[in-house]
Parts: sequence; structure tokens; C-alpha cells
Amino acid sequence: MRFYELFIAFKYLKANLRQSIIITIAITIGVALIIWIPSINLSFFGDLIDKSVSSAPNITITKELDTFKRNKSSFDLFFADRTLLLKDQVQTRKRNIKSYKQIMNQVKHVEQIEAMAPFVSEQGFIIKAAEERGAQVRGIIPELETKVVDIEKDIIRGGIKNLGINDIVIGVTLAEKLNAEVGDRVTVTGPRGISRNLKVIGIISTGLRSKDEFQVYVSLKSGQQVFDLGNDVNGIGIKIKDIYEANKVAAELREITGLNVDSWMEDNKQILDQINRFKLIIVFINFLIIFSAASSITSVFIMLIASKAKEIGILKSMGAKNHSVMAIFIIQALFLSLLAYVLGIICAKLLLMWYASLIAQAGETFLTSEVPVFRISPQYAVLAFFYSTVTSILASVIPSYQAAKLNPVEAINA
Amino acid sequence: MHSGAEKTLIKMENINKIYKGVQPVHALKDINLTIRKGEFLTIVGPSGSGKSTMMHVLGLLDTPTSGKLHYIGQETSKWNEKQKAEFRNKEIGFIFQAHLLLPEFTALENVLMPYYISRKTNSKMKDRAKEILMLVGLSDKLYSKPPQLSGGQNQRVAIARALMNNPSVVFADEPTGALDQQTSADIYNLFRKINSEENMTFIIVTHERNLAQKADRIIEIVDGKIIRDEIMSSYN
Repeated sequence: MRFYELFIAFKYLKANLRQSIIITIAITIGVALIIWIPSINLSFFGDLIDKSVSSAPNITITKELDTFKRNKSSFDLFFADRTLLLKDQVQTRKRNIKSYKQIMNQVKHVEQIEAMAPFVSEQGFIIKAAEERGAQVRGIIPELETKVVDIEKDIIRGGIKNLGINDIVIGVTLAEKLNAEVGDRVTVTGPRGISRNLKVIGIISTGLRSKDEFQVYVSLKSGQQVFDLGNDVNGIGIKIKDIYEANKVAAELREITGLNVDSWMEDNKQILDQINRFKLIIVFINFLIIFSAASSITSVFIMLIASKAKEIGILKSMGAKNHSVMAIFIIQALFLSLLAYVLGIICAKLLLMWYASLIAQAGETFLTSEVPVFRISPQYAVLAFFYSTVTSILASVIPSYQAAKLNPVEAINA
Repeated sequence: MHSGAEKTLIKMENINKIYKGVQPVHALKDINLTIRKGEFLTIVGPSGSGKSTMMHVLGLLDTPTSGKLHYIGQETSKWNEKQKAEFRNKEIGFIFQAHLLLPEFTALENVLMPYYISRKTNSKMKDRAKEILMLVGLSDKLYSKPPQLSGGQNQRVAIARALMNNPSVVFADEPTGALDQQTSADIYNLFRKINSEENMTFIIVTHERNLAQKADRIIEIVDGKIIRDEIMSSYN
């Protein structure tokens, strides 16, 4: 028999079923927890990021007023005790870009850029009959904007492609609050009191509370009229090829244009920071899980090997070499860890399904109006694989080594 | 009696074994001994005289503190654990007082174990294991596990296992100590049969005078020293 260690290892596994089950359960719990906890949070934050990224440009070029830039600290001091509205008005003034076509020409050679679209974006009011709601009004050129942000995937009724000067597309929650439907007419009013009566041609649902309740789209021309911007825009939205290069591309664009450039990563810094903080906590939790599982594996193996001392002595008297004796026990640990890994993945999946059903009963989370899809995080599934195999091998190596080093005479007389 | 008993199989030269500890024990003192191939030899002596230590040193299970041990002309003190393990697997069979079988494995698997450890692949070896089990009278217990067998049956499985790899020498430490008189006699006869048919060397450690007297050569140890090395009259 070429690999008699396998033969003996599996016999021992079967004969010592209780110990085998204890070890398998210990590792299974570890694997399930290592995958489950991060998967919930990463699914949740990942969903939030996906929704945020897919419903806004990857990069936005805006313009800050020179005086504001120079005197930012004195502005802050000056507005510290003023109303929010007044501060907003100053910030509104700072955003106008007159020569957006020239800027678009200036940056179009940047390799990462896939699409660009100018926009106006201001706060305004949407009025229908007696209902009046605050909203973020975004004036766009639909054929350009839809290349930068995939708004069409979020359209649940009507459309956005044919957004004309007299049309508006509104968020689903806002539509409910205004009791507005496709075909209805609403009035949009800017901060300077300029109003336009527009026809609802589409309803969007992004799953993000901030968008669905406050976002409306009008044509660029309408936006410029309502906000009294003439031919100016507030900014240029950009879609890039690799979204994780956003900060790098933003820096390049800042260099070229000298304007204010924000990336989605900077805009979602809080969420990304939260993910990083969470990953740090997970490292600590995982360490505790691994430590407790490893201790249980080691103690079970020490007991198992102590009970097998005589048999180890017999095997050695028959010519079994030290590495073979070690292999017999490590094979057992490895097999149990692989079995426990598969069981752990199944448990993690079941736990995720259970958690998703709990969330589904609530129907929404505090940041999203839809229940995220909870998936097993591949990176933590890989980590759990290494955890289960490496931990169990390491935990079994010391007792196995001791077994291998047993003096056959002492073992036989034990 | 034995035509093949002329070649030197084992040679012990000034072998000492001292167990270190608070009170060191000098278990073997300047042992000089030559054992020829095909001998049927017993080592006798009172408890604690060093006869088991001698068997462990001879069987390469334990290392002497000083002196030289030769096997078929080769000096073994420089052998590493791996070489010793390989030699034990190929050339030595052990039978212990307590049968020391692996309880999870069947009688057949226990007998095959030394062959498995050799990593050889020979489809005929299973038949050989069955034949040996038949020789020891256990052809109907091939698939029984040690806990299902009696003491005598288990000891016979252990004997079959010691013979499996066709070793040059079989060491038996009190092989019939736990058995009744009839079973002891049967086992002794079995050893004798194999010794004469296969020219296999048998070194049996025992304190049973009856069994010892039946050997071709008796070595008596007292307090770690050989005090008697007698070739019996029936042995040529």
C-alpha cells in the first residue's frame, strides 16, 4: 500500500467518531462565523456603495469661487451662526461654470474617461396641488447624462431618454408623497422664485432613500432657467473605466483644469471608512474565533494521541517512520477541516438567508429603501478556507510531532 | 538440527545500557553475544534482570549507551531513526506479551500492517496474510477485530503479523505469559514449526522454565550480566 497513512487515518476517524464530530463542529462554527459576520456587513455596505456609485457620476468637476477658496476659514467663521439657507446661497454662487464645453475638450484625452455630461444641480421645491416638497433638482442633457449615470435601469415607470424642456422625472418616494404619476403636472421653483410647470414623464427608484425621496431630473435648459444660470452649469459629471481609479483620475483632472474635482470615493468616504473600521474589528473577532477553535482542536488531538500512544509504539516497532506517524494525525485534521469548511459555507449561507428574511420583514434599512442582496463574501470565504485548513494543521502539528517522537519502548509500555 | 544455523546474524560487543535519572540504572553490563541465523534461543532471568532491555536493544527499539551492535555484518550505531525503522520493517518481527494489536483493524488488516508500512504493492500479499492466519489456526477469524477475539487468538494474530514480512528474526517478549498451558504449548509448537520450515531466527524472552528448556540455546541474565549461555544437547 503506497499511502498506508491515509488508510490508518480514516480508520481512526471512523473509530473515534465522537472526537471527529467535536473537531468538525468546532471548525464549522468558526468557518460559518468568519464568513457570515463580514458577509452581512460587506453585502450591506457593498450594496450601499453600488447604489451610490451607480446613481451618481464617478467624478464631478465643479467650480469654487476664488474668494471662497481663498477665504474659506473666514467664510466658515462668518456663516457659523447664520442660517443654513444663507450659507447654501453662497455655495450656490460658487458653483457656476461658464465654459463647460471648453473644459470638456480640455480633459477628453484623459484615458480613463468613458463619458462626460454637464449638469445643473440645485435645491428647489416641487409643488403639486397643496403638496410642496424640497428636492435636489438636476438639470441634464439626457443623452449625455445616461452615458455617465445609468438612470434608465432605475426607471420603474415612463422614461428619461425623451426628457424635454417641459418634462420632469421624479423619485418614487417623492412621487408618492406628492401623489404624482406619469402624465401629471408639477411645478418646480428655484430659490430665486422662478417657476416652471413640467409634466412627469418618468418615475425612478434607486433603492437609496436620499435619491428616491429628493431627486428630480429636468432638462439642462429648464434647470438653467429655474436657477437663473443663463448658459452656465454647476458641474460636469464623468464616468471612468475603473471606478477604483477615481481618486487618481480626480487628481489628474484637478491638475489639468485647476477646478474642484470630487470622486465617488471621496463622496462616500464615510462608508468606505466604516468598511475599513469594520474590517479591523473583524480581524480581531476572527483572531478570537481561530484561537478558540485551535485550542479545542489541539486539546482533542492531545487526548486522542495520548489514548493512541500504545498503538503508535506498535506502528513504530513495525517500522513506521516518524513522518508517517505525524501524517496519520495531520491527515485526520486536514480531512475534518475540509469537511468542516464545506459545512461552514452551508451554515453561513443558511445564516445569511435567515438574516435576509429578518431584514425582509422590515422591508427597508436606515439608508436604503430596498433590502440588500446578502451574498457570501468571496474574500472571507477564501480566508475561512485558509483558517480551517491552516489552523487545524497547525493545531494538530504539535501533538502529532509529540506522537512521532514517542519512544516505541515507552509507548508500548505506556 | 539446523543446517542453516551457521551464519552470524547478530553480534553484540560490550553493550551497556544505562537509564539516566536520579538513580541511574545500569540495565545491561558489557554484554557480548553472537546469534546465528536460524537459532531458536531463549533469554531467561528474574524480573528486572534486563532481559526485556536486551530484547529492545537487539530489536533496534532502544539504543545502547555504549558498545556495538552488528546486524548481518553491519554496525548499527550510526544508523538514523529512518534506517532503523526500515530495518525493523524488513528484517524484524515483534511479539509482545500483551498482544498489542490495533483494535480498529481486522485480524487480516493487522497482519497486513507491516506489509502496508513497507509501501510495497504486491497483489499476492493478501493471500500470504491469509495463509499465515491459516497457519496460526485463524482462517475463520480474518475479518474479526481484536476485541472480538480471545487472548490466545489475539496472540496468534500478533504472531502472524510478526511473520508477515518474512523477517530474519522474530523477537517474542513473554509471548505465552498471559495464556493457559495448552495454548502456550500450541504457540511454542508453532514457533518451532516456522523456525524449522523457514529457518527464521527466534529470540524468546521468558521466565517460564518449561518453555526455556525446549529452546536450542538458553541465555540467562541476572542483574544485567549474562551468567549462562548454554547450547542444549539436542542442538548441533
